[in-house]
Amino acid sequence: MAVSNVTFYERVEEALHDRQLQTALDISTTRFTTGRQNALAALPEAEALRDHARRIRAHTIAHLDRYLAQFADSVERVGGQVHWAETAAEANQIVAELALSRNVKNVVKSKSMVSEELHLNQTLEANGMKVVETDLGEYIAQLAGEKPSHIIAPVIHKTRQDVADLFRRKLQATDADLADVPHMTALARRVLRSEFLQADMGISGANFAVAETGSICLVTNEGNGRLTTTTPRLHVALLGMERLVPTLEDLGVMLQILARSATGQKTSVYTNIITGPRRTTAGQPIEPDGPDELHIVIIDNGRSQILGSELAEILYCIRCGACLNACPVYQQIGGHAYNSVYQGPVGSVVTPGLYGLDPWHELPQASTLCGACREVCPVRINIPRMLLKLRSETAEAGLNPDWLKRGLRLYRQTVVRPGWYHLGGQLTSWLSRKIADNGWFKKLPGPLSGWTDHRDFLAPAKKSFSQRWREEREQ
Amino acid sequence: MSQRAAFLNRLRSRLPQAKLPEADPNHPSSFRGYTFAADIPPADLVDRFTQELNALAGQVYSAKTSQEVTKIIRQILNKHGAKQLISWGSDWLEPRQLVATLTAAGIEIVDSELPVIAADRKVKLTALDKIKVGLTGAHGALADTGAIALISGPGRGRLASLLPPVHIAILPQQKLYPSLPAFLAAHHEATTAGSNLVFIAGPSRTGDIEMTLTMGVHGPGELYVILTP
Ligand code: SF4
Repeated sequence: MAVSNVTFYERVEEALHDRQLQTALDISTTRFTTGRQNALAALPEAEALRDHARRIRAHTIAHLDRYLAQFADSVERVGGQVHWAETAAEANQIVAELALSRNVKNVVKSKSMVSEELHLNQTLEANGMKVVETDLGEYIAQLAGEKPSHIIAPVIHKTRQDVADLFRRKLQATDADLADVPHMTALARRVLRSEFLQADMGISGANFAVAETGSICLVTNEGNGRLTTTTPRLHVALLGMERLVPTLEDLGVMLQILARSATGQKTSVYTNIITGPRRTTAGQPIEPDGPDELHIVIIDNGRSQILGSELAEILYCIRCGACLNACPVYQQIGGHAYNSVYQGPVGSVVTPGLYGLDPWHELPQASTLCGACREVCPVRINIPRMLLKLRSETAEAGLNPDWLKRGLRLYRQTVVRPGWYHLGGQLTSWLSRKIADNGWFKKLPGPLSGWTDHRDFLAPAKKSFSQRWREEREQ
Repeated sequence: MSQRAAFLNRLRSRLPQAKLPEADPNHPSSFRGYTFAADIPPADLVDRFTQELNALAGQVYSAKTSQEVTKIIRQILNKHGAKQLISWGSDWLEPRQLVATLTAAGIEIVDSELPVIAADRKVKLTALDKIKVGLTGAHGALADTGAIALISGPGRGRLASLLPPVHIAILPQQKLYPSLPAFLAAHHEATTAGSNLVFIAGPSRTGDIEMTLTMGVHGPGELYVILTP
């Protein structure tokens, strides 16, 4: 994965100063978190369902080899073809060869995070194909040449004016087309509909795959997932290897909590469960429509690395996005600052897990360890535990910046010596009276400025706790 | 070694080092904690379904006879100035004589089989894209979410509920279930009868631009469910 030369902290700075982004984040994260709460509160069995969903995911990951083999057999039994890709390069090659051998020119895609991991669009475009994202948000991001900034709402960082300007530039939209959001949406529908009708290949991801039946499940609200997997004669589904559940009934359990956790909907509009290509007898189709070929590419791309480690629990994730919306850090900095396909708390574990700590060691620091992510996670993943693990690995590998290393060394030397510790306390208290404004720091110097750039910081009390303790006891 | 064997062997070599809290060696079996039966008594299924689907901007009609069904369908067609339908086959629509009644009323049911040859398929799709209304049956409906369940198969295409801007589904009342798990438990053929099982909860929608709710972005913008006895 490409690592940008702008640092994490520079991207955070930029996000914090982006007024539009700040408003969008406030509205969206509040709406999603309250929606989630209400939807789960209306489901009496919600807590027990979450426990059960966790057990299903844990059991599946622990026997992933067995369930993947069963899934592949099931797919082949219903006439689908299965491909195995260890790396992104292998996956890209498999899809490109499929497309080239079938003379594919036009490709439509419904949202797939795995494909972003692979940079599949670039590969197909380099082979002369036209690739169009069809989820409205992803389409807007593609037109703008940007990356999605949220798992569920890819362009929450854009205003309708931004989108109108973009449509005017890229789609020659008229004033009538841009009158309001419904008109803009109608324009996008027309443009994308003609892409669907002309597409030779549809590429989708999968929210889940069912080992017992060989089905894949895609949930969408727009219906682009259904069109992508119905109009082209060739359907290629990209499946991250961990996305399995053993049975159709288990899928039912997951679906009961997925939309509720993601957007606060009771259900997504379309829950699309695909089992094989369109049915045939004696080589002749017996179903009126659906793709004539279904290829499922099972992708590792670093996941087995995560599996054999302390981070394996993150593979229970069902990509609902709830931990993003609940995270006080994400709420402030949004998705782009993470510079990765996977953002927020889940991304801070997955990204270093997939690509290594070295370029990504800042992400596990982007957390207050408040535990909100674990609280809202439908499968109760202990994200803070893994963030701490990654932080300690960062320290052991000597990846922390020098000021932090020196600061921590000084801190350690101080706190183990009571005399130094008291002296330090008194010094801080004296200093704070000098520079605090009504008990608050408005601006701290040097490396401490990070605490006060975007908010005030409470100054320490005049008397330390131990001082007061002593005084109370003497009374 | 085959790609598959290499892939699975790699997992097997990693699994012993995996830290997997609460991973039981046995499948956790069925979830028995659903409260839906207590929540929605059979007598309330219709009301609850109607309420949920209305909340998602879908419309529910009730019809007693095939004449009434035909009348409702014609009203919807008239509203859109349409005379043609992409439809499921007559075997899959109840009442059974419906297709005959519709045809007698001057409504044309277009052929919607997609050819296997890519170029022919595109031509056919482009023609079908002009049809404004799709008609299907349904294998069930979920009262707690307002979703209808459609299983594809011979005579039961996906396009009728997908391509046109308007979708009409005919649903016999006895096919109402309290929830998704109840439907799945009763329909073991759901993933074997055809290549596609879809749950549809209201018209297509998006909130991608400034979280403003907009209907009909890719799938149908209008959904009508006609309940029959
Ligand atoms: S870690 Fe949990 S909350 Fe976060 S996206 Fe995954 S399933 Fe959802």
